[in-house]
Amino acid sequence: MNTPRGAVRWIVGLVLLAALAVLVAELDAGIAGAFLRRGVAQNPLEYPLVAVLVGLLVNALLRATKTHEAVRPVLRTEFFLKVGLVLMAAGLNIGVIMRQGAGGLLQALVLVTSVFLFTWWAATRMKLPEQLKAVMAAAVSICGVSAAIAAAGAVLAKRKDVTYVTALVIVTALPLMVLMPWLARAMGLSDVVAGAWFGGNIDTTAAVVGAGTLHGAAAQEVASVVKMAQNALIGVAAFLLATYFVVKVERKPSERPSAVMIWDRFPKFILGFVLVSVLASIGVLSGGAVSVLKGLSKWAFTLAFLSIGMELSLRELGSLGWRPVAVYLTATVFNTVVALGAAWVIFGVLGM
Amino acid sequence: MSSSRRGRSLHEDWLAVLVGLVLVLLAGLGFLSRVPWPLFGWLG
Repeated sequence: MNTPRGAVRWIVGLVLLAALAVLVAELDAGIAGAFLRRGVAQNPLEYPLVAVLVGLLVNALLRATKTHEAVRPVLRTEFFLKVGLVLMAAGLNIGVIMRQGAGGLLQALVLVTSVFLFTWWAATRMKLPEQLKAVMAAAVSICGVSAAIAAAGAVLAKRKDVTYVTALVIVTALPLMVLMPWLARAMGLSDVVAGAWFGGNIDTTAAVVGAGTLHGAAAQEVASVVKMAQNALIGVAAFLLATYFVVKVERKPSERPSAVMIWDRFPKFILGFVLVSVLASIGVLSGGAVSVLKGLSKWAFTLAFLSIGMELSLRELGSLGWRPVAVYLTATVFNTVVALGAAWVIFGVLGM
Repeated sequence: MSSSRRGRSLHEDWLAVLVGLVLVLLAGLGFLSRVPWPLFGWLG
């Protein structure tokens, strides 16, 4: 942006991006209304998917009119994602997690570890690239889109990896949102065990809320706390992934990994994430402030996913092939079974 | 990955932290809740 023409392009690009974000918000509200009329409390199609689809449409229009290069400078996907994650931490109250009991945290530790390692193993068997493995394992084991974003930042994954995994997260969460409450009733699970199962397995917050709504208020409350406990592990996962990539994946043969290298590699925006969650946990932020920040987080993520759609090449996405889908679906089945076992033992048998 | 991409990522990281904390400060002080946002159910 060193010339007046460059400055004009920036302004035009930002105005276009802002207008598209408003369009996505309107579409999200409309879709949510349609689901609400059918008894589903939140839009399970998730605004990131809507944003990517709108972005893809605009992408095609801009390329057809040969104006795509004019808006490229404002498509700061990674920056928007990182701001969104820092702001999202305002909704993470460690105090609530601890007060609700250690069960949620224990289940989160068991699930995240086992599902992450299983997904990593399956992805290795299918010869997926290292960065895609990291993003996918984080997404399926922790909490879907947010974890995928954090992992992508830690390992400097390609944008198409984030987009591919985001689409898989949302698409698999939809049938689970309907199927799991039905299965929970068929198996005669208590509200608490059912809620713990939903929160530990379904990867999108909206789908967790939806499943809880379909099953009952008690289940929804437990599901939300369990999901929050898993979200709290985002920072830990990002740190471990950054360390692994420094020590193993990117290390040159003559290079010796050091603490400085790991610090250099560590995604600094996670520090902001942790700091904001601490502020929320110790009660510095009022309920109104948390609500505003969660909303701003959604706007930041919307800008990010719009940017992804506007930059994406479908051919590039298609080049990833069918193997990531196979890994993700296998990992989801594994997650479903292990989450059921963990929820039944921790919340049912042990009564934590 | 290229060192230039890593360098830009580092700048973006700190800028994201800065922008995020400024917004948290503004929200915490109550300034943002006074802005008449187009709500769309996303804010306030």
